[in-house]
Amino acid sequence: MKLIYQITSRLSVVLLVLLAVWGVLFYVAMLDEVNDEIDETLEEYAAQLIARSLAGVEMPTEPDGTNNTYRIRPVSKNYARENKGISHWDMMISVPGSYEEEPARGLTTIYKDDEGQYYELMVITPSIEKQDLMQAILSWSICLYVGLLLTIILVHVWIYYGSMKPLHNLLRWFDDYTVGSRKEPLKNDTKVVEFSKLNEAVLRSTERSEQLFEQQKQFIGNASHELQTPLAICQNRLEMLLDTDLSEEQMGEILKTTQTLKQISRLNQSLLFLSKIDNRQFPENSLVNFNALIKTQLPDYSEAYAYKNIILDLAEPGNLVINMNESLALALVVNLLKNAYVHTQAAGRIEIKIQDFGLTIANNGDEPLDKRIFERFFQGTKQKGSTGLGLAIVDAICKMYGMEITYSFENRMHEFFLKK
Amino acid sequence: MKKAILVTLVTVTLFSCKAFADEDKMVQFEALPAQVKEFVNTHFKGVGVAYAKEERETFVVTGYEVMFTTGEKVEFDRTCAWEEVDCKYSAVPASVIPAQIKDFVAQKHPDAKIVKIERDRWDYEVELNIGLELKFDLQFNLIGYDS
Repeated sequence: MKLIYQITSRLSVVLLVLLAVWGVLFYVAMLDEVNDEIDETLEEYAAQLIARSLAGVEMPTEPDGTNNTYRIRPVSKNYARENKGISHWDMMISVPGSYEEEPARGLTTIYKDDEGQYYELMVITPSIEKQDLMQAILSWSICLYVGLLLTIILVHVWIYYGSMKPLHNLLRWFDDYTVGSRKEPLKNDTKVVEFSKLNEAVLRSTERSEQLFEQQKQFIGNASHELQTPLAICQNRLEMLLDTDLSEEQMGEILKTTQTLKQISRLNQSLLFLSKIDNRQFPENSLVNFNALIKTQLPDYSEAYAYKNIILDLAEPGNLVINMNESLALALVVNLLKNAYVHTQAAGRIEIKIQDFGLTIANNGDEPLDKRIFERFFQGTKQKGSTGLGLAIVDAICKMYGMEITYSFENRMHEFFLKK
Repeated sequence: MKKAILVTLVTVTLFSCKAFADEDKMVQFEALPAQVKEFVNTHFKGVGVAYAKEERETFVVTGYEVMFTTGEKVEFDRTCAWEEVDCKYSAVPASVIPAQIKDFVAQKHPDAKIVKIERDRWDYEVELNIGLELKFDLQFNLIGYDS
């Protein structure tokens, strides 16, 4: 979820609550104000009527054009005492000449005349439809809500994108960044303290990872380089030991050990090779024809794995020529071919297709492989004589030349596609 | 959210309190402030009281109103000074009217009776039974006529 969406949705909810509260308050206040006004008019009217009746002046006859109605009735002293005060109330009255009822507001008050006789005066005046007022306030609140929301969101989006520009710049730059690759410098000028701090932090952390990555590369290179000689010596010593007088059993053990040592040495060489690729120690490039390269390598493999009875299907619809280091091209082809031959079951099938834009090497298989096959030492099923570095080397070479190697599983075939 | 609901409730309650507090209150004449009673006893001696009212707005007394059984009415402000004397069907007691206004009316409209006198922070308003309304400033200079 984008930050802007989150802020916007939260804003709308808060605004909705606030405006609902505001609407209720506004309605109550409005109604109160209207009632106050009506009550005041009613009291004024009542005072006039009382003055007239007390002064003995002729009382107005209904209707007098204002739609106000009144009633005066004499009441007992007790009633007056119990009902002293002014009371206001709302009610519905029937309008003369119409079947509809209209809301009205009334007032009753008590007064007494010269002789001490108490009277009750009741005045009624038509009032506004509260329902109408409420609906008006509701619709206006909705208008206000939508209007305010739109304005606030627009202003907010505008301000947000304006002020968050440095952050988005930084994120874009960071998206393009990968450790170890040549990076373009971060251009992100900002006056905002937080953003410049963020810039610095990101730069610091990338530098740190850069350093660590470099150190790690060097360490692997150095370690495998340093291991080479002792490994060779070990092998030689064991071979010398074989020439001495040994029992059958001892000789068997020593042979097994030499086998293992050979494997370690191969692994070490692969590691060294990988670290050389990572350190770009293969600068010389030439145009390599993959058609020719593959055809020179294939006979060796079909011979070495002849016992597996693998059917080979080579198709050359095009010529694949890539400008790259020759030994790396060889390593690429060898590793892919070896991978195919090692992992194909007996009486399986290998399909090689060379096109102008790429190379496809596919072999039989039962189940799709894990996506991590290009990682170092990742092996789906352990195979004898496999270092677990072959596809890592392929991947490293491809990355170095900006090529793409992809794996897919279709029609029970593992398919490796190299895109130029 | 809980807070918002609480605030709403409190405000709504306050509003409704205000609505109730706005109601005027009928009181016994004896319960009125001394100053009001004194004015009534001075200028309307022996006249019966039809009702006495205390006017309120948001818990505060804003004035008083006394209706006499003769249909005459006096209104007072919160400081108990008279604001309006309405004697539409008789005449305002001469003792209430400031001397300068009384003289002015006697001079200009000898046949007319003053039936209503009002005063506020800015001026005096006098209503005559011949349908004329006079306005004086606080120094009793005539400002204008209204009919």
